[in-house]
Amino acid sequence: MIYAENILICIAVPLVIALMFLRGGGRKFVVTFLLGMVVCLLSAYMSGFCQNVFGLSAEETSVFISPITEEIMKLLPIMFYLYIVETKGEEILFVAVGIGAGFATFENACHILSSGSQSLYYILIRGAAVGVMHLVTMVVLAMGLNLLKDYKTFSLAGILGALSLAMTVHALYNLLVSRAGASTYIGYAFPLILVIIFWVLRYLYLNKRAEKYS
Amino acid sequence: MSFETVFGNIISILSLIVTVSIIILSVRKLTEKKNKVLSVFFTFAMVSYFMSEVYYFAYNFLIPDTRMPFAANEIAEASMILLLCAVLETVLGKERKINIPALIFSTVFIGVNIALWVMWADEWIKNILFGLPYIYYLYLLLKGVIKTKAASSKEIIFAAACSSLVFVLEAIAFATYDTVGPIVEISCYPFMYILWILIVVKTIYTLRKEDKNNGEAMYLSFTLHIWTMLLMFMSADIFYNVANIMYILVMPLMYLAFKKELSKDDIR
Repeated sequence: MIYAENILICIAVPLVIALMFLRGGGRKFVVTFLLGMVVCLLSAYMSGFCQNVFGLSAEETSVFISPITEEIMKLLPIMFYLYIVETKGEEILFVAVGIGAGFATFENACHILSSGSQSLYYILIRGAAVGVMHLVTMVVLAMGLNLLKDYKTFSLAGILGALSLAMTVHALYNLLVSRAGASTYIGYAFPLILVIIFWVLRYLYLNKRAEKYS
Repeated sequence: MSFETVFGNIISILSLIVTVSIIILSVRKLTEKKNKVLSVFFTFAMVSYFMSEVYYFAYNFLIPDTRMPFAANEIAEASMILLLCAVLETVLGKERKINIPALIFSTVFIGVNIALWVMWADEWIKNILFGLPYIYYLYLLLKGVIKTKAASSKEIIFAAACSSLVFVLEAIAFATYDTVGPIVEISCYPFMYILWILIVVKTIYTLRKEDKNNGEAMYLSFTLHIWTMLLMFMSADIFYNVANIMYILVMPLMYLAFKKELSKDDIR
């Protein structure tokens, strides 16, 4: 049993104070990072609620419910931001990355406190995998929303489609790491593989575009 | 692991190979200066399907022969349907006028489907929630088919009557499961497969036509897609695996229709 609210306060206070001294992009990142941590706590509440209502075990909740609640909760601040701010270029992506990083950091902090931090090897793998996974799902979401915004095709179908895709990536990761053995390692490698695919696609796309305009 | 699960896994692998090939081809289309929105939505829809198959495969491998309470592969399928809806919205363009007959038919038709799914699986929330995207998908398809005259009125009425008959028979089969139910259920399959073959023939014919393209091939291939999905949901045992194979055959037709749509000169 850990007191997640107390951990949140402990991590958030220095960041809130840091906000007083920050301006521009730095301030925006810290705000979204804090928001990501708050969202993580709220989605834990929601997952716990669903666990009790549907009578599921902790593992079933982690595999089936958490990906849904966490991705919905992460989408809400982005949608709110899009609603109140006229974003330019890849601004949504920066906001999404901030929320994803805050979310992953808080989740990692709680996980370390509840299950120990003796093994540096495990902590490194877990840190890299979960951190990257939350970033990847947020990047998928942000890319989808950016595209819908750029081409002025903001439709409910498109938004929900991007959200569901992010949920599936998350659910697959949770499923793979829920079982001991080779699947756990595949699960840990999965977000990193996705990042590499994204990089390669982006590199190929930018190269092709540069060739076209040269 | 049961024989059916092993066979299901083999089909999943086949399906993954086909889907990956389509994803690679559609990613290549992304770099062309054509209708980029269409390419992105289609590619992401295929990625969703790929994720659905990967999840299904991983689940069967890690937790075999266990029913999923709230499965992510169904979320991925819903994602694919929604993204395909976004593709259709792009093809339909700015037209936002509601087609009332199409809306009524799609709501009633998928509503009956949802009712049957609930009766079979006894899962209310999941089936209602994941059934909603199908209503919108069918609505957009009907709207497009009527608008582009991809199928004549007679063909639409025949397809609607045939598919409705299948669901009536399925409902009778469910109600009389202890007596004549299994026989009635088997009698549904000829109707399902005949309709599937007719849509395949019509789609291939439209794909081969070289005259002006208004998206007919896309609407027909996507109609074939939704019918194959419904057919899959209604099939049991060996028929389910047959439907899965039919689904694998539909994917390349969808890609060809998407490619034909992209080859149009106008960039929306």
